[in-house]
Amino acid sequence: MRAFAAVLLLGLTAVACQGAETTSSRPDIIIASDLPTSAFAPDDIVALEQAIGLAISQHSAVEGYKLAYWSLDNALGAQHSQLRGRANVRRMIANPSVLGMVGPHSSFIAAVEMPEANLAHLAMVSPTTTGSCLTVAERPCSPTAASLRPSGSNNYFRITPRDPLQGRAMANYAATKLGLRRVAAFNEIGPEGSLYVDEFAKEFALHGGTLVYQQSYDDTPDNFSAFLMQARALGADAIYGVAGVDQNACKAAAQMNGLMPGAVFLATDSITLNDDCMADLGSSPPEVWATYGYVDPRTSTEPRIKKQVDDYRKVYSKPLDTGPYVFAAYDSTRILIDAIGRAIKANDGKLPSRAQVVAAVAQTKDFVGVTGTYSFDKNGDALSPMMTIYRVNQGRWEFVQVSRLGAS
Amino acid sequence: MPPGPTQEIAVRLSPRELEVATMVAEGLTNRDIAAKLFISERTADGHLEHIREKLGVNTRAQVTAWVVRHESAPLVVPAPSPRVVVVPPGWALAHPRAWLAAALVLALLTAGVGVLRLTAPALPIIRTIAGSQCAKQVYPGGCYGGDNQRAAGAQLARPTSVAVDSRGVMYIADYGNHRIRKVVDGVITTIAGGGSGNLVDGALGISVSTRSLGYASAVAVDSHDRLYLLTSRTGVLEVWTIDTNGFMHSVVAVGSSNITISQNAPNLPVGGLAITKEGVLFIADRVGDRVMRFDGETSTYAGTGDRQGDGGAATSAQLSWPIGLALDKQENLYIADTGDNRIRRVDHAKGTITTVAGGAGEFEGNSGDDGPARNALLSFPFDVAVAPDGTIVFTDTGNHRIRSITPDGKIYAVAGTSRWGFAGDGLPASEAEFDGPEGLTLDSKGNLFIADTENQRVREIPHLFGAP
Repeated sequence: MRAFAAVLLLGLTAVACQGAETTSSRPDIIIASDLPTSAFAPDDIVALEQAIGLAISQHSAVEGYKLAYWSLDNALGAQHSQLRGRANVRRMIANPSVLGMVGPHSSFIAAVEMPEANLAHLAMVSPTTTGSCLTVAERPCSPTAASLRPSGSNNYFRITPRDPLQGRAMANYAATKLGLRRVAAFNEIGPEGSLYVDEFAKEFALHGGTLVYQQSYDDTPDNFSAFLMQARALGADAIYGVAGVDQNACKAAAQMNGLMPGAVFLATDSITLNDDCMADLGSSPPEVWATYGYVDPRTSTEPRIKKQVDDYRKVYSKPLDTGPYVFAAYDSTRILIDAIGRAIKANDGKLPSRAQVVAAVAQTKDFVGVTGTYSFDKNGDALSPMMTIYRVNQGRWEFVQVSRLGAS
Repeated sequence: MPPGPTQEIAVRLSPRELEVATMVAEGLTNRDIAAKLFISERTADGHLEHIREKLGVNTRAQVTAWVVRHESAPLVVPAPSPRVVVVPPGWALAHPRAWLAAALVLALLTAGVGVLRLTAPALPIIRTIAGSQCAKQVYPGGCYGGDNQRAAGAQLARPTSVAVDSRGVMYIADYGNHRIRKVVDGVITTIAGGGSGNLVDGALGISVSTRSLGYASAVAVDSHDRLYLLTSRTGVLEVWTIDTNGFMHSVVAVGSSNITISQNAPNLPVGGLAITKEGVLFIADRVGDRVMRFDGETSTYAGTGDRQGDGGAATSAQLSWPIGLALDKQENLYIADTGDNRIRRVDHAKGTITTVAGGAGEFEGNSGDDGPARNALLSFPFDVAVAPDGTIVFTDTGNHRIRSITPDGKIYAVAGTSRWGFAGDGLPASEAEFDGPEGLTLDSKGNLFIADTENQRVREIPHLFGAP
């Protein structure tokens, strides 16, 4: 089936990019994507392209206009490349049929693509970028969110929650579901990590909790005993670790075993679903709970969503085909198609300008997708993004629940 | 007469590809193959893709059938014979000795001999001299290890730049490991970086293992064999030097680099370095789209303009993410104008800038070999070096190859097939596969060293511009 999909994608791409033999087969509208297709873990990225391609193939025409897909690869030498990403956006801009793009995959790629796309009023809908600096200015950012939008208006939208909101979601769950009241936090990811902790502290306080202590590390410690002893001395019943597996977050959790017996470890998507974490946790880890800025609709019990997932699996059936962010890519594409359709209607049935498509995306109201229901704020963030809570259970990551965040 | 099975195998598949094909026939998955060969799954995918392409098949079953069909043949590729070769047009004119070969070809053709088989010269062979496969591949690639051992067995993480001093000592910007590695007589050590503390002016280099070098992405040596490195730790582009006694000294800071050590690997060098005999530094400031000059005072040397600017003052020209720099004997400066897919040249005497390669189209591409370099398409050239005869060699990074520009303005292939992957050691460089090669340098003997960045290796083409 993947081979079939590849042929389908190739076909769509060929129609879009290579030029058709006849005018009648030439697409009127192209939706492009910019993803690191040939970088590390290409299967994950190919799955995103499949999702975009499928959404487009399900809408071969929008209000009578022929629609096609153009997938661009922004990897250079196995890495996500700003150079190639920026060049790809310039290619899209040079093709007048491109009315919107899905992507990019990474926030640091978005940072170089957004100014280019913004000046051309090209709508960007990203299924995966979560860096806070792309949309808001809660901390000093370079480049700033405003400088990413040199035209002065927004053209970038995303359905995934910005990273620091993980702190809010974790605090809410810790206070309301786990009954925790006193938490100590450490942060190894710099200023962005401080925002996680700030969000955590604010939300925790709303539910009667207290952040009793916090520490930032500039380096990657192996030994967290001093921090853990301080947390214990202050009566913490949990640790919130804003750090990745490579930054020894899971080792910190393991070290709680002797120093903070019974305490809970709370974490971010820097460890969620990461199997390497299990080795670091050792044989007697504490309870581990972590957030993830994506909703996996395979966990849904809602009939409508189950049917959509089942239908998707009829086309793409391998486990990786429905891996992380696949349905976010699918939803992002459908949001863009929906907006293009509305822009055509608003333009009396004529092909809209790129700016009109941007305006239509901005006006998206309660779009019902597979991963959630979406509207956007003035910065392009989803108004009520979705977050998932996972936990470690018997050495494996286990889905717990989906949290819908309030207005962000 | 059609080739026999052994000939067909020998012609079509590399030794590694044969191994992979055989494992496919044994029913192994790409993951199994990767584990068995100690390569990444991605590399195994790449090998299989090449196998399919070479055999003209689409499925694993067809690969299996091909192996079964040839199972009676010994699955061994004959060692390449450097004395019996077909001259590839790309390499030929970039190599001084190849002019002789070209003359011989012409003579043979003139004499009505239709087969271009020669007995000399040998093609340049490529080999790995530092770096090896990691036991466990970690995003964004590479790992650290192997100090005080054979460099070819050590582990690097995304080496971005390489420099060689007059004694043959090699320095590697081990970018992903935030370290500077040194190779002497084939043995590798770490001479700086790896820690987390701030750099201190005057600190002994060896103690720098407790210090953070940040994203040290360019190394260069001056005429006194003093090592310089360009890095960013706190969002400022900085040049440091490590003297021959191992002490570190701050040289100059050149504005914002936009990259801090707390970020994940940003996947791009912060810039490049070149040094004149008199010790004047040229610093490519990628984020600032400019090249700075430092002779005790800092000034803009190229970039900051708002138009391409060929023929005009370099300071009025526009550069786009310049990275690699090199100087020729006359101290004309060559710039890898990476984001513009061009190699630029700043005339030392006039201060004017021109394009010497690339720029035929608006976007990246891969074309133009054997023709005028100005009409060629490049893909994000990262680094540049100049041979004594004025030939320019550069990494055509996005095309996974090395190309050269001869003094008459023509462009030729030097190494790489344009397919990403890792292959070709011990074979002619034209058959090598690279993965996003970024840095390169020539030593005084004409050996070319290439930072094969995503393969986590430094590779060498010996005697490219000199007699063996």
